[in-house]
Amino acid sequence: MSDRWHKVSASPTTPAHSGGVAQLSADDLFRVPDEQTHIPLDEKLRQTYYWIVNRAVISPYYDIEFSSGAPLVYSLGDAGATLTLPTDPSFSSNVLLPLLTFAVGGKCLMIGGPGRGKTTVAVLMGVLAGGTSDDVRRGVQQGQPQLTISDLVGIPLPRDLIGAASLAEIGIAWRGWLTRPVKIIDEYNRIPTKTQSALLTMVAEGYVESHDQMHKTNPDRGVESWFFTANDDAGGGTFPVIQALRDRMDVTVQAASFNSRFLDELVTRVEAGEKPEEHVPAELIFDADEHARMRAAIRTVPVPEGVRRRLEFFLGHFEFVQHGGRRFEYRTKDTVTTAGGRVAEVIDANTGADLSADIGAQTINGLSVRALQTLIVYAKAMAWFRGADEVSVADVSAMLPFVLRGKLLPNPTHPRFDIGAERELTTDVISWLRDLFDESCQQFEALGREQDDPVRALLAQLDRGLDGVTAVEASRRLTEIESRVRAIASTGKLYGRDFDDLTTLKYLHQRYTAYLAWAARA
Amino acid sequence: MNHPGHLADAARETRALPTIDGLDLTVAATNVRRDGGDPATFATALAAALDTDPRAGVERVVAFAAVSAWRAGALAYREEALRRIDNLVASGRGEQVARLLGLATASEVSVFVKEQHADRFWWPGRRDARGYVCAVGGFAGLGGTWTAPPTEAYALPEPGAFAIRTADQWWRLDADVWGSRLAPMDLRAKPAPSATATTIVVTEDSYLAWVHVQEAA
Repeated sequence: MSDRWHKVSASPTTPAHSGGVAQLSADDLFRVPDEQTHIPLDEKLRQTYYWIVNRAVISPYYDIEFSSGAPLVYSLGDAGATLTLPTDPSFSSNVLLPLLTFAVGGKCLMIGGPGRGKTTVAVLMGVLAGGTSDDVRRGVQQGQPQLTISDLVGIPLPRDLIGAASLAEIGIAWRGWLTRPVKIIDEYNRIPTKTQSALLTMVAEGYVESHDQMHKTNPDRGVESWFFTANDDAGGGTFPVIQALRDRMDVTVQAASFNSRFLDELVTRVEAGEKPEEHVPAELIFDADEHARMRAAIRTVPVPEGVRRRLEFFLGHFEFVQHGGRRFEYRTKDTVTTAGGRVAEVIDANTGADLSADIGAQTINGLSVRALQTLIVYAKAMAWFRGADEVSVADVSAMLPFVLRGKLLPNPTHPRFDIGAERELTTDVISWLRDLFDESCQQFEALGREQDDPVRALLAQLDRGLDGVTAVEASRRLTEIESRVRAIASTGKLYGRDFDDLTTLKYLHQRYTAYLAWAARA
Repeated sequence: MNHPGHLADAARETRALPTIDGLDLTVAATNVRRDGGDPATFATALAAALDTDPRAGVERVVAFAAVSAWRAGALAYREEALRRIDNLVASGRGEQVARLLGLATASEVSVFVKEQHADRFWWPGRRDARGYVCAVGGFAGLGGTWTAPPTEAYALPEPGAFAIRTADQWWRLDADVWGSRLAPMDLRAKPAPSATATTIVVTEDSYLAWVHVQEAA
């Protein structure tokens, strides 16, 4: 009988952006291609992806789209629905995001109703890391209202509890799942708050503590990834998830529903009594060394200047809120939130503002450094997975909604969410976040920031160092900085994107003022 | 011609890939495909060279193979092929190279190589083709590359390189007399146009872009 599971596809990959044709020699012509002797890790990960979507979880959804040209777009029905047919390989988020999490050693929250394959995908990740399907299944921590810290991490040895003279003498029988490379917590929003705190220490710090004993969750310093499941991420569940733990989720992805056109495959599986995780082809398993090399390779993918500038521009929108404080630097959403205020009300109070032009007004918070770091890592992973030499705007755009879901929160009182079809965005957070980034990129283009970014030029000037800069030159630069501040002030409007520019200009002003004072003394 | 292709690439009867002891030509054919060439053209060119040199040793077959890879449209072997042709002609194998390239005589090979060093789009029949060299792109639904017709194009500073725009996507075209390669190009990395006698021609009613060289009067 043929093994219907064991079919690893030669995956289609997106060609790298062109920089010309590298010349080869006759030796290269007769060299056995690498893929015949040793499959590159990115190709192996792509083969794994296609095996999962085609064989394991049946996910004919391509919601992460890439197109080299204009994709075909069809309007469907009379309520504004459109179907896009992308031109380049596109991907299913509910498989790709967990797989990239596995690759980079991240933390993935999978949400969705029961029976949608969340746990199966997580278990597959455990098997890809080298565990047997039985072991990985046994290692899944099932969230439930009675789950104690001891249930989660292990118990002190009874003989030590009786004989020990101090806590240091108590040995702990640590649970085996704690040191697995892939850790799976099912229904984490059913775990009691106290146990969630213990979980947070593991996730955030990489160790667990019990009876004054410490146990590292990643003793070999390998690649460790976490998978959490929940039925929703909007506060449902038996216990509310503590914010710090929720914040540690690098990406949040929704499980896809079953496509009824694939019922035959389901029937076949029921008849055969088979589970996909029991049939992962051996050539798709990543050993610890491969896993570490894969993560290292992903981290080395460069983020080019053009992408960094667009990302920088996007991030600049969200921290500022007019009337958030008196001093300029304190006019932030964080100032309002930490003082117990409501950001939405403060935004509403700014009656003179054009809310439609200020992207930052659509959110009630800014972005954390952790979220930015995560976004950079996942954008690199996306580019690497697509076989690109560097990160593109499309890679950032593809990953951004999944990284920022639950982190960049919508302002429900913003007029955008009240207008016609835009109301759909109140429930479709992923589309809203993607749209937000697109809108920011359009503003970036419209303002001509690519060609003319005076604040960036001033920063670059300072970065070149102050050695040999004369007092006259420093004074000239100070005048230029003041002129830039005046230029922003003269518009009569203040947007989120100006906030970082103005604080940067103040920083530059300080540096040159201090330099001039030093030069005068010397 | 209403489909992508090179005008110099005149139709020839397809030949089977030769078999040479001690040399795996199927690996070479696979690599030709990987590098954007046509394995069938590779096999035909190599077989044509070996027709009159059946006892060629491995080293010479390797040289013929490198030239055949270029002839098959694999741009990555262009420099290697031009170097190998010089050596083959110098060792009295001009006739084999002529047969391989589809040129009439060994003397044409020398002219061809000399012209190629100055103009990568030159071949003896270009004047008759009114300077047109190749068509690239084509409608994706008919096996081409693009889902929208090209609207804007210009030559880049590097030899044989062009930028072509289809809808909101820019492409980089690298080409020479035998081969071409199209790859998506990052709009932000798009270099400035370069003045050259080679132009890229796009029209409103076609999914093809044509490389054209202004012939001297």
